[in-house]
Amino acid sequence: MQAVERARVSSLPRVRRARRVPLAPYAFIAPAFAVLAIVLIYPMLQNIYLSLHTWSFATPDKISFVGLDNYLRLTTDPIFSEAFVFTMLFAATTIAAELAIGLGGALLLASIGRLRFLATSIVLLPYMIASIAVGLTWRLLWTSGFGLINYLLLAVGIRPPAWLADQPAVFFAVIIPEIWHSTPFVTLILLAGLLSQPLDVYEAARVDGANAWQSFRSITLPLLRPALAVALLFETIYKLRVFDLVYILTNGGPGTQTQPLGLLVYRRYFLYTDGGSTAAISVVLLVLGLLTSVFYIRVVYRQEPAT
Amino acid sequence: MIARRVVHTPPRIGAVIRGVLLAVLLLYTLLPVVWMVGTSLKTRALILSTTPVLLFQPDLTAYQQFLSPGKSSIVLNLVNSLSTALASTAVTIVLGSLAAYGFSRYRFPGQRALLLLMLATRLLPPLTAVLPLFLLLNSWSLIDTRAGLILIYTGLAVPLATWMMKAFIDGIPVEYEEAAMIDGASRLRVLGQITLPLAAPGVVAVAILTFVLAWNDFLFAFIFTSVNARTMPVLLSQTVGELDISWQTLASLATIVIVPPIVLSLAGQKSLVRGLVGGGLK
Repeated sequence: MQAVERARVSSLPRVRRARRVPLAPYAFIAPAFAVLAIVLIYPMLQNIYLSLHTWSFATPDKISFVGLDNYLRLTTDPIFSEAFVFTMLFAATTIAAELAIGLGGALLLASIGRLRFLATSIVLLPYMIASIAVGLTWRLLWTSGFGLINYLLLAVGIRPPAWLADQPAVFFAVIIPEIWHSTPFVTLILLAGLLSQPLDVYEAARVDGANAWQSFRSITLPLLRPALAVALLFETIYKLRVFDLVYILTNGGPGTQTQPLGLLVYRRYFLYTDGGSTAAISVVLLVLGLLTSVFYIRVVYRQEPAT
Repeated sequence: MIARRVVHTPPRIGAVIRGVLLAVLLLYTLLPVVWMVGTSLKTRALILSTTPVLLFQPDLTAYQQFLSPGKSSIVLNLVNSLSTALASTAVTIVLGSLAAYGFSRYRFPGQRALLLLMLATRLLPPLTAVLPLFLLLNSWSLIDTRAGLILIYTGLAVPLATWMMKAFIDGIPVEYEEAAMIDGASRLRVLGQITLPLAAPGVVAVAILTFVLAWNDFLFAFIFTSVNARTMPVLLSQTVGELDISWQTLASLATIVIVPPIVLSLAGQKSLVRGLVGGGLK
């Protein structure tokens, strides 16, 4: 994987043998950028502009400039704080669990021989499923009365909570499906990282008398750092977007206790009238995404070999 | 890459423990999906049983209802989902290949900045584009149309497609193209007849990922469609809210949403794994 990342990045500065036709490359990339400009670039910029104004979805033309007022109001908005804290908690817990399970899964898959390819493609499956279907699947599993999870808990003598209604159970009812859904991506990235590690280092460590734990601590983990960084940062970016899964599992409830920023933005944009402060919330998301992205790009660039 | 080497992690772990752990991992992965598909084949009494029923006579009532005309027909939604996913996949491959070729085979002012801009649009949360985009497409009368969705999905997928295709095209020696161009072929013909066939695994990976992105999308279909262009995930979420809806119906709808990406990813595993690892995407 590092090799691929490196190839992508290091091929940038190299001069290709191409005819000197100044306009041709722009013609090749223009159609893609035209669509991007319409769907993402213009709307994101427009969103920043809107966050500095007072307006509403019902009357988007009546608009007046208010500077940073919308942002200042967010600092005293309890619903925003709640959603912000939930989003951060959701991201932190799911990512921590995904890295742990993903690392375990990757080590396991790396250690098996013949069945690895088949097992890897099965392990990858949850990642391909629509989050809306993942949410519904887990809603079925969490159901009281005839749900599979409660049945299993009762079978071992644990009295289950009302998963989608009680705190803190509802927090777990939301993060576990997300962990199930996204861990395969982490597993795959880490597996690729493991498989690209040189074997002779392990051989040398064994000759020097290192045990399994020692060679894991001082060889496997350090060599895996770039893959871990990529997985961590991509997962952070995805967690900031969480919407579908929570929408179908709890719809942000009970009350607004499991409402992520994405759901808050959707609700305020389409159901309330305060467009300016909603735009400000989504700019907060944008900035968080941008910071993570810049960090990601810098990590990838640092992998570039000194040429 | 995945299949070739065995890393000798803790060598003392016995094959038995490894086998048990692998079984647990596969069970954890598959059980929820199998349970959902199973529920779609169970009658009400079987679903509501307090002891899970594992073996039963499959009941296809829900699926038959979906395809027969009437209120519960899902044919329109199925066609919407399929056609928007297929069309955005086709458009994305064309635009992505063109852009990737431009980035890979030329050096030009602003190249690095434009590549990074493209990467940034892939990494930033698309939700922040929703409202201005809604107002824009509304003024173009593209709300609740398949064309509107195709435009959106193409925009969402094109950055990933470009980055992935570029990685593949970078790996193809430029000499093949030069030979063809000496024979008088145009750049576009070279791209279509020489470069893309050589980058076929990349095209397959991009196609699968774009199709799955569009097929699985809920957020945009939810906001940008109402009746005419409503896709399967939106139908699924709205059916959940209906009174008197049975779990069998819900599970069948969910199964229909789940199956195509699974089939595609199993069919194209090799390219897909390469693409995912190289492109680090969603």
